[in-house]
Amino acid sequence: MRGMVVPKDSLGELVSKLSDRYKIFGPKRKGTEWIFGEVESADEMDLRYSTTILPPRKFFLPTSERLFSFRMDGRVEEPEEPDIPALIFGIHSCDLNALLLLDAVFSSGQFPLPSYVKRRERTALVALTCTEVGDHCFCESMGTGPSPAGGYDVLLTDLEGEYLMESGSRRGDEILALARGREASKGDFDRKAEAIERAKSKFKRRVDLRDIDELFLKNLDNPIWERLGEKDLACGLCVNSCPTCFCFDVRDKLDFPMDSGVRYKEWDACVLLEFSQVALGGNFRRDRSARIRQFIGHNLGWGGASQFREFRGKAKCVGCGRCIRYCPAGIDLTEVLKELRGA
Amino acid sequence: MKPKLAVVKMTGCAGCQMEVLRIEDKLLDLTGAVEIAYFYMATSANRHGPYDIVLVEGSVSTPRELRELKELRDGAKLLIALGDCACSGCLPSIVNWVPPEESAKVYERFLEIHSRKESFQRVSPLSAHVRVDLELRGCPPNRDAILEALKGALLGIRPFLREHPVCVECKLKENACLLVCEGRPCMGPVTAAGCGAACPSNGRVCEGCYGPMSDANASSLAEIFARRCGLSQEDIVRKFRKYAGLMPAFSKEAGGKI
Repeated sequence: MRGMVVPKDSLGELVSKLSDRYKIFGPKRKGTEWIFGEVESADEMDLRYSTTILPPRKFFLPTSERLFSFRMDGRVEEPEEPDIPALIFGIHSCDLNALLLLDAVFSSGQFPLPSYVKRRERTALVALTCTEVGDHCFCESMGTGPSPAGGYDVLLTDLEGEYLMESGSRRGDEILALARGREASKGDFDRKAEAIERAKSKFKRRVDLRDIDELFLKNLDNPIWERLGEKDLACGLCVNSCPTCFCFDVRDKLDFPMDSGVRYKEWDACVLLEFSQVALGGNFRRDRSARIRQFIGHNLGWGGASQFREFRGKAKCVGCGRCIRYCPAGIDLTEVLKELRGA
Repeated sequence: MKPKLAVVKMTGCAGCQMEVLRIEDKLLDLTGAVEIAYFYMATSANRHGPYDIVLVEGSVSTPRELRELKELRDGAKLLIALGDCACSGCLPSIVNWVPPEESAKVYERFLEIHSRKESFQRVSPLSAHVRVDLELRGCPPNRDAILEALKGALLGIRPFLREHPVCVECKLKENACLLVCEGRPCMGPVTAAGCGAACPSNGRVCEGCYGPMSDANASSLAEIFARRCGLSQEDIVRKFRKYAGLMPAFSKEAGGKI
């Protein structure tokens, strides 16, 4: 395995070199929270961030995007995709694994989404091993952290005072070539393994995934869903902050004087009433209890049993904890799971 | 022949018709598509009804307004409630909870106020009296929603107006949640979107001016206001009463039916 060890204070120089080639996005402070935003230097980033308000999927599946514009005479025009290489700096293991799950849906499979594929190809990912664990995190239980096994171009691990930099791709090799440091030794990789073990001991939340599909299918009528429905605000914060939720709506909008218009796509959320509404006001999930059951069930259980066979039996949830952190009603899917198990 | 459009005012502040004027760059396109037959704020050439498309701003608070509303409805192909007063009663509807003797303490010549003099005593949304084809929520409604409504009226299709909560727009703007992160009493989770999360994006809690969203869980939010934000019962009632206390989704938290 090829790796380098770089002093922490050389990161600024590396980011500045990278900014010649890439548009760089990294974790930045916003109020009490963090977001992934454009940065020009390493100083603007806070690599000790806990999590971001929106997950990195926003770069690959924008919250709202124009698919094409049309004229009533039949002319159709697709938007030009800007071809600027981008780099996401400091992506956590949960969010990286979330992208790998989205790849299974949008890159491979029967119907790849060309815009997604293109964006993934032109975006470099510099991942970060988590050495601290947030109050809401449970990636270890989901097998998605605290350090990624692959899928990155570069992986950084904080070894106190310096970073271990590993390459995971040819693009990663190129990035490593820009860094100033020394070749990593076996001892450095041992220090990384120790840092991961230390992080693992800090998790406050764990989930038990044994026979999870069966557990959910057995509990479709459990009274817990009614109780959650009474608390649930159906505000959509859980879905919109989820790194693997991928549902969207497609709409047309006409311009005045109505001889032209656009077709656009925007994020949708299964916890909202309108999501499952059909013609004449029919609705498959009118009650909040049915919608919160869908959200939790789809995330933890029936990942393998459902139509999303692209996930190959893996749960959709990556344990990032955003839906717990941002729920105003205090709904916590790890607690729900415990209750379903009768614990 | 172009359809005749009327913009009519009842009890309200005229801010909603002001918003119709604010479609500025599209106003000429609009005048190309419809004949503006009555719009007191915009023209002095106002004609008598009937009109095809009627935008009614304001709530109903006097018998005269009620007569006018019924007349407009009878002549109209489409009657659109323009803004919160017309949709839910909005700020003027707070008077419904105020005993007349309280109002008399504030207003010196109380009986000169039309709505009081005519002993109508209540403010109500349009839908309490006539069939309303479309409601444009907000105080005032967003100009894009007004345009979508007019385009829908001209095409004969129901415009797409999202009724999901403000939280959706707020989250997509990547605002740190005021309720969760700062424990402030934000009405976003129960309030219909359309404003682009204007207040929370500027660090202010949502006041609820678009009225209840499609599936508002008022009792759960009221409980969160009490437990998490430390609001008193009186304050919670005021929050839910302010813009849409007459709406069934809020009426219990607004202090019960009146």
